[in-house]
Amino acid sequence: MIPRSGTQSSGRVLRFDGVERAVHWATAGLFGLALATAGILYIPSLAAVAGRRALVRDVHVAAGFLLPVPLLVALAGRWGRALAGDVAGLGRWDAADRRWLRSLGRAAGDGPGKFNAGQKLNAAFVSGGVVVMLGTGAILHWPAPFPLPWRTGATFVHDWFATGLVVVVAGHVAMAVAHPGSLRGMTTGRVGRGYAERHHPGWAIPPDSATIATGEGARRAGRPLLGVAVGCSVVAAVGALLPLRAGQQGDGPAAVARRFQSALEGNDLERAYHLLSPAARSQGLTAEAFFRQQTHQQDDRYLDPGQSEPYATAVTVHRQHRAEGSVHVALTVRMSDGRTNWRQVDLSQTGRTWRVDHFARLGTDPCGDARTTRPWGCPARSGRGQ
Amino acid sequence: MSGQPPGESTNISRRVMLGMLGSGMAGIVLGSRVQDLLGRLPGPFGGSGDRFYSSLVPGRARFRIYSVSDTFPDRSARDYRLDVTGLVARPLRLSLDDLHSLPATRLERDFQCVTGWRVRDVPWAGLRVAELLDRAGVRPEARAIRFRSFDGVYTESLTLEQARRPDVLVAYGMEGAPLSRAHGGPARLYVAPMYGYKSLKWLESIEVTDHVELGYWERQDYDVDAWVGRSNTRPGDHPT
Repeated sequence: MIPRSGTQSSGRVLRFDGVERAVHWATAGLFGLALATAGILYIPSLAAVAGRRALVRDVHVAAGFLLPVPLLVALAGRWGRALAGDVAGLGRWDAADRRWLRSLGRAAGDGPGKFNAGQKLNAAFVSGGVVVMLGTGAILHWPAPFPLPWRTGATFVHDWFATGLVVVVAGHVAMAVAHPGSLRGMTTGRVGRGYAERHHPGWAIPPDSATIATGEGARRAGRPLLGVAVGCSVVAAVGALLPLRAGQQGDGPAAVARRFQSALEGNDLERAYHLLSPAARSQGLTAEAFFRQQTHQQDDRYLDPGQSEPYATAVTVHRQHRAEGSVHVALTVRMSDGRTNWRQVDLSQTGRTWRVDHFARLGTDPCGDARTTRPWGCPARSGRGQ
Repeated sequence: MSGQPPGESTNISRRVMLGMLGSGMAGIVLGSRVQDLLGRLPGPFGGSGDRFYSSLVPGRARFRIYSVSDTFPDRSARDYRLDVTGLVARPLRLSLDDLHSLPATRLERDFQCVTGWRVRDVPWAGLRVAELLDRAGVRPEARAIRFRSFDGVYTESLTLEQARRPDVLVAYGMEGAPLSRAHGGPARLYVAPMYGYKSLKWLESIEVTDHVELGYWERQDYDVDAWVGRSNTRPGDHPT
């Protein structure tokens, strides 16, 4: 009798096809990468040896978000039929599995099918754990929408679940090393017939009436795992679509505009002009356009009567000097307490984007200051005093 | 042989996964409180100890080591020099021994990172930045300070007023020991009332300037005035 789920070949049985093995080793590689980079990020003595923290963090985030991708790609098409059958089988429990669990793997009787209850538990634990890691990882990566205690909580959960996953995966590796016959199933795809009959009799020698883990019933049983896979794919798709280093504090146009306004109101002008570069990117408002606008709207007011500190009431651009790829601006900021402060802003252009390189206090109008070295294009001195 | 059709018997896989999702969500909501409690305990789960094995305990309220340069900078205590330059009457170059010979200040204050972790009641030893400024003699046009790190990348700045605060230190000791390399030794800046990124590590020079120049993290969109609980969209943090 030839088992229906395995193909006999010189005393060996096909256990995992090429797609399943590719998924396994791709996932293992990504997990290893995520684990190694996590170690460097988390353990100070490793961080000291490795350095390059920004790169290590980017690799960690990329490996993490990519982790479910091999499984999902394999499940997406007909090439993953064997895998889908195994996923369904891993999510299906019967009385024999519970007997196996109660006896801690020593139960005889009808014996396990393709996967024993320990392997099913392992699969469930790792799938659930990976979903939690992806969810908390997403909170850590895009913290802006979440309240502070949640961000701290997400870090806490990420740390503890990582530890749990490491322990379980280490156990998985140890079991594979302790059972070379089983490991060969994942390296060559085939296991010895004797091994299969001893450890997975319900799979190697199916009774005539056995329901092999394919078909409608099995597909229903596999739904929890497939649901997990869909959840992973949503997180992975979001992770892939958004840039890896999306802003730490919310970089949407509205957020930038709000922060810019509030910086002006709080008289934090360095901050306000610093914000211009992301604002320019996200709103199509170039720094140059902003200053031109200020030249025409000299009375633009940012009033906040509730503020006890002096605040900016108007910004006026007085001098501009343009050169290839750079603009220097001298402007005054009128304060609520009547003072007027001179400021200098240096802008430079990369491609179509302007950024603020430098913001400095000027003592006075540069055209009124004999020591001025910058070519501001000041009007002829005879025409006016300071 | 099971009497129940597949999918309708007790599905342990589903239970395990739902249990993990549930505990994960509970942990997100309650984890900060649990961590807070753990942080008050002694021992490896609590808030003390920097040994390798204790760094493996997850979720501790301890330091995470950040650096911005490609390699982890290293300078021995003997080779260390701190320059005080810029708009000063007397530029200074100080060895670590020189720093130790100046009036010392000890502070016990929290260290709060803008990414969320906080270490409670860290004992710091060092000297006030104000002490160095007074010795160098700040010129009247000075308005701000620019700090540089010997990692070659990290810069920070404070207004003169902020730098003169009594809780702004050049720190050379932490938790009763010389400041370790990982924590920014031989000497770093410690700006107690602000988020950790203002406390520049591996301090090499203090330059007195006439305006605030944005530091490394500010150029990446972090707030210039980084008061804990009043900046960086973290309004819930208790001031340190």
